[in-house]
Amino acid sequence: MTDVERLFRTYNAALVRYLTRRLGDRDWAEEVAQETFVRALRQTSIENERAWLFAVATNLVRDEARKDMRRRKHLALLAEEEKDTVSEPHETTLERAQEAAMARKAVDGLAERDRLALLMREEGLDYGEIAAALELSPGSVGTTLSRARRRLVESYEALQKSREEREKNAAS
Amino acid sequence: MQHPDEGTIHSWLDGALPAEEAASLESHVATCQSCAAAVAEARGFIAGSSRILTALDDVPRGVLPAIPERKRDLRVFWRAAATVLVVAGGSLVVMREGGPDASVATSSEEPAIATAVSPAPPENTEPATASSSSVPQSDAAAVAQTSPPPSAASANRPPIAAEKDLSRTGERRQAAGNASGVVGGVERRTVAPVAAAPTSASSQTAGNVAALESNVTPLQIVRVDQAAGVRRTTYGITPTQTVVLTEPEPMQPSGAVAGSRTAAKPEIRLRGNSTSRVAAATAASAAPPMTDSRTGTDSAVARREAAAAKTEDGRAATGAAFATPANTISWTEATTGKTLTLSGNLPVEQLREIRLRIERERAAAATKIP
Repeated sequence: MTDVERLFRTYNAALVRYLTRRLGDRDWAEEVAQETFVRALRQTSIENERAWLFAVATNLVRDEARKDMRRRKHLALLAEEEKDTVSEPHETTLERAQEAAMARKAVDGLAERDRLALLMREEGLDYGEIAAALELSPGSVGTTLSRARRRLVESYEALQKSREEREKNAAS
Repeated sequence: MQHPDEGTIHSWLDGALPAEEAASLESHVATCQSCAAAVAEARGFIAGSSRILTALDDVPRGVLPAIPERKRDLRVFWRAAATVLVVAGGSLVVMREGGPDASVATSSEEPAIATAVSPAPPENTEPATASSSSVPQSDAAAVAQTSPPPSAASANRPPIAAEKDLSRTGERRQAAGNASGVVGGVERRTVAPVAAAPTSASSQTAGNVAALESNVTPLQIVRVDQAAGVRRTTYGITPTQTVVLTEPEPMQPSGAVAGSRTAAKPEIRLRGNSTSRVAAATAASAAPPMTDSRTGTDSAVARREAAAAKTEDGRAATGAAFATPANTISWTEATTGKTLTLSGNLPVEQLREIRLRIERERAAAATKIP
């Protein structure tokens, strides 16, 4: 088994999950993951494998996003929308789909660095690896993660609450 | 020890503190009530955020949303019946009035569309397609006699059928080498242009891409169809290039009213086993070998193959812009939880660009609703 094969077998699942959560698109995530392993092929040696792979994948996504500033505008719009939540006409969608949508919205509302640190941590990267992948100081990872988690949970709960209110209003 | 800050507590819970620091924090927390509460809260956030993130894992791949199973058959029957009538009538006129040229003109049974989108991008003619692509089913003799030129036929192919064809890319490639392959009526007609006009098609795609990149004006909605629980919005990207956004919509009674324009569309997807009753009843000719999108395994396979074919098509095979089926991307819209599918004859990268624009515009439109 070559080194890249080993890397692929060891990290592909986590990397794809990380990217899927980041992008909301499984196919896209798989493409980026593949491209990441292609880049790994070109390396003669990689010191911290997991941090390196996650950093490269993150940069690949970022490069693509950088081309297009619209993404930010879109986020701004989402934030605005959150203030003035429009009643959705079709409340009959599956509970699960609603949860996924709220989760997506809550995650998208995080600052990029917070989001990435959190997603990496969820894939088991330790503080050193996260710091290396995101070029943070190791000491700030705890703060970044605590902020990310708090915001994620709070904004998700806020979304949940507004949904419940909407349902209540619709019912009455 | 001082009260630890939130970051330190998370570091501790994540096992990232040096042993010494961890020990002193632990003993502090044991005695300090407020810090114990902070630790409990942090545990809650850690567990909560993990749970929320898990909800993101259930992301669909590039699939078209399935049509609800039950109500289809009757609707399909009537639609097919209506299509047969229209096509038979049209063919009759054609056969009386003249040759192949006239048949192309009359294949636009929806004058509204044909005139509304005058430079007629391929996908825009989809309602017309519905009838033209059902021709072989309903009246094979008419096809043989009127035989529209291959390019017209393939340009008229609806995106849905196009996506399906992705799964048979290999088959088509093989057929392309031998355009007279025995794949069936529709297939044969789609093959010819692939083999015939790759170069002109690729230069056109390049032009489209350039135009797309320079184009920062809002996307233009060319048409919106709503049928059988699916809403399809066609966006004009350039005068000759469109993409189609597919999203699930609940059934609406008004669908029947909007029917005539969109009537035969779902029937295209359904041509297959159980609905082939209809086909068999209305046409004794060879139905195009479409797989039924409802058959679980078939569609799963098709999906996988489509996913596999997608990358390749998107990167290399732009040459077949006319006949090559669209690339497709799909994602879950954050605000509604709907699965949206975007397809068009553009590289995947371009579709993603368009996706971002569509997302932005949909978000903007949503905020405008009072």
